[in-house]
Amino acid sequence: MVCLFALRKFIKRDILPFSLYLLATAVFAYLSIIQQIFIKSVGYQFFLIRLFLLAEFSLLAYYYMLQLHWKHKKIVIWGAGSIYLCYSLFSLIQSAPGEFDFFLVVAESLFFLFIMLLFFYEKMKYSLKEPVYYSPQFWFSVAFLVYFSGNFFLFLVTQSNIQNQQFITNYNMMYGFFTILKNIILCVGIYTHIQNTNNRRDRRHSRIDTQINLDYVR
Amino acid sequence: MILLQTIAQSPTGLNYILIFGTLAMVSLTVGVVFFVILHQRKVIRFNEQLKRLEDEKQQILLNASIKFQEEERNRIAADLHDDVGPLLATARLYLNENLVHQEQAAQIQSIMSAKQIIDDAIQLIRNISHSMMPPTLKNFGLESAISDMFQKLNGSGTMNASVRFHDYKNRLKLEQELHIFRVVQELINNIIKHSNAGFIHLTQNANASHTYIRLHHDGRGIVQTEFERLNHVANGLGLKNIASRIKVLNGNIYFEIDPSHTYYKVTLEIPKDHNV
Repeated sequence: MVCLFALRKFIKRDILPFSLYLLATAVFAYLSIIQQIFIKSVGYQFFLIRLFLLAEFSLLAYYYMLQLHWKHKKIVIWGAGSIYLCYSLFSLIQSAPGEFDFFLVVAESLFFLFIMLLFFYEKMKYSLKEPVYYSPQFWFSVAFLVYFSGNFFLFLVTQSNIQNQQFITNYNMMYGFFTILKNIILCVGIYTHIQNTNNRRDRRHSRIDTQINLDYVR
Repeated sequence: MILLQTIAQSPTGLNYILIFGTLAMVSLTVGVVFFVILHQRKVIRFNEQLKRLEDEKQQILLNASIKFQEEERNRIAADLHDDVGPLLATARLYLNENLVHQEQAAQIQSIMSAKQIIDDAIQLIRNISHSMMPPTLKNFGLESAISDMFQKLNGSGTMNASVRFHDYKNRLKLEQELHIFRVVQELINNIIKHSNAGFIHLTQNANASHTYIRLHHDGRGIVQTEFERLNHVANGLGLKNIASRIKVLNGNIYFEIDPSHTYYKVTLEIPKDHNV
């Protein structure tokens, strides 16, 4: 619901991929709920996660392609995206229906950690007019940086401990914690974006008191 | 990754990896974010400070130029009021209504005196107008105007002054020439007033894009850092006026001392194709 509400405020070209990401998250959340109530199939759930990961990777990668100034960004992002897509398809074909390849999320985390660091480096270098925390892009990046770095080790060791019930409990707890943290920081980003839009709207209007008569009188 | 997964087989190893690994990653993340914020704030503050200094400098130059203009107007007003006014009033006295009742000899005498006074007034007005825009500069160009100025300087007998124009076949625009002339005039005034120099030599040269004028003198001079400092202090209009004229010309001025420490050099670098 939050994602769909935020989407209304985000139909703008520079953050359109991010808006689509919010939409994909909402759709995935609805499908997961439906799956858990009606279908109750682990294979179907894993298939949904794979699809979501692909959507997440593509939309975030495209979003950062719009944000970054780096001259090799297109080659790196398109290259990494193609490899990721190929590997996802390969993994989908290779894996059994009840299996999930955690290397996909590890690779995604590594790639986006690199992209976020690059993004911050560029912010330090080029964004010199107003503090970086006034921009919603900064908060979106902080959210994903926290999410990917917090879950990185979790994703790394999950593959070998998927059968361990205690580990799964811990996994859900940690994953949930970092996901909630990410969503809170994303909300800060959305709030910043709304504030910026309102400020811009205010600036468009003259601040002169309307009571003062400035009409031309012949 | 394989090593990590091997360690993670044991519950204790797994917990260690998860706790320490995650803590390290999160700490790094927080560190990076704070570093970015603090560094960026520092850079923004530094840029703002630079901008403020630049604005202050601009303001001082602008004030100086306005003040200079006002002083110039006051001087012209004073010249007109104190010199030309009384002369014309005296001439009017000679030509009063009683003139017709006087003897012819006295009439001629009065008219001649009035004529002489009017001639003086004309000369005075001419001098004032020449001080605003030297006619030599307007009619014959910068080279002639500067040569003229140096000739007068030489004629005073207190200073050995010489000029050498190497490449000034194509004149600059009149506005540019006037600004350069005023800068040279101000520099020479300063040299006469403060340096106690025995000689001044001016050299001009040019390349495809710039005209260069260099003044050499053997008196007490200043170097670039001193010029920058004096330019920033509130009093003293001359140097600020030079700086604002150079800025209008989009040129540069360099104050140097010769490596032999025997004379000082002031070099003007003026772009040829700049609209004043």
